[in-house]
Amino acid sequence: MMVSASRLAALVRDPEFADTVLAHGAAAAVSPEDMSRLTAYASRRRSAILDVCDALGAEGDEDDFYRTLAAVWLELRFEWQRYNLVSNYGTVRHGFSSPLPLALASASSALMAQVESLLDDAALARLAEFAAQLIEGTHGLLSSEPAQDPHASGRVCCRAEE
Amino acid sequence: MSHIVSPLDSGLQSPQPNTLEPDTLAGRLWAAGELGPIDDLMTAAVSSLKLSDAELADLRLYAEERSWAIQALAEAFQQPEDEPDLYPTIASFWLELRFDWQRHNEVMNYAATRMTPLPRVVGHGAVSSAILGRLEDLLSPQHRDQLSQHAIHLLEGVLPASYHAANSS
Repeated sequence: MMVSASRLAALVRDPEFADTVLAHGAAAAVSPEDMSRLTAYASRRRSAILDVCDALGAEGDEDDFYRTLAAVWLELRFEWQRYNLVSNYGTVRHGFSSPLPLALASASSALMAQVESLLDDAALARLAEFAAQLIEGTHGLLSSEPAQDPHASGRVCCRAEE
Repeated sequence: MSHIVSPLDSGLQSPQPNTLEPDTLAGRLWAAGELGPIDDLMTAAVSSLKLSDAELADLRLYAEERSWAIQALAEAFQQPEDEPDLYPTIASFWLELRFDWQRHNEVMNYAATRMTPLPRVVGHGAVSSAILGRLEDLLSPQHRDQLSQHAIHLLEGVLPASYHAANSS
């Protein structure tokens, strides 16, 4: 069965959508100022997803809609991992991390769960494998020696082939 | 048009810039996230668009959020021993921004052909593009090409079997 844009739109229009995202901020004990940032983040994400539903929701656009949905999932997956890393490195290096990255990681994760409920399991597995390998630096895409960048310092680290 | 927010107006607390060596990967990432140049690019990009004050304020928040995210990443990975982990993280961040930019483009193109163009989405696409360009210099052109090609290929092949069956019937 094809995923309809109206199904996704209904998910993000549900009042529980923003509540779920914001609940993670409350759990992470962010400041009132950061909570307003989180609110703006949830609102922007909601608006972006609804834009996709409106623009690619017509009959005949199903393939492009599905691919865009998959790209949105990847975007959220990278974002979630990035904020987790910022939070973890901050804690390890400085013994403290601002709660905002953790709250944003949780918010990304909550959004990702909504989007992935509409994606096929096999497709999701392929996307997840790619994301994990890229972030861990084990994907072959970063394994070759890069061309010399005149702007790059000599200390840029790439995964050169052994 | 209203003045775009300056770094000093940002409500987000920036990490400490002076602790990062400018020649390191983390230092260069920090510089890529400086709000001033992003502001300039954004101002130029949206100057011809008819955006409401609320839409401009939303764009400012978006640019601030991205600037903060770039610099928070730089600060978290500032130690020399972090560099091997930082490069793939920048690569995934670049791809994340690319998907963001691509989505705005997709919506913009569909909107332009089917309904009234959306200046708000055009503005977001322009800001995405400006920020993407700032990160681009930190990756080798070869890696960027490989990442782009792989992402395109991955998304081309993502459709479930039921879609292919529906398309062929």
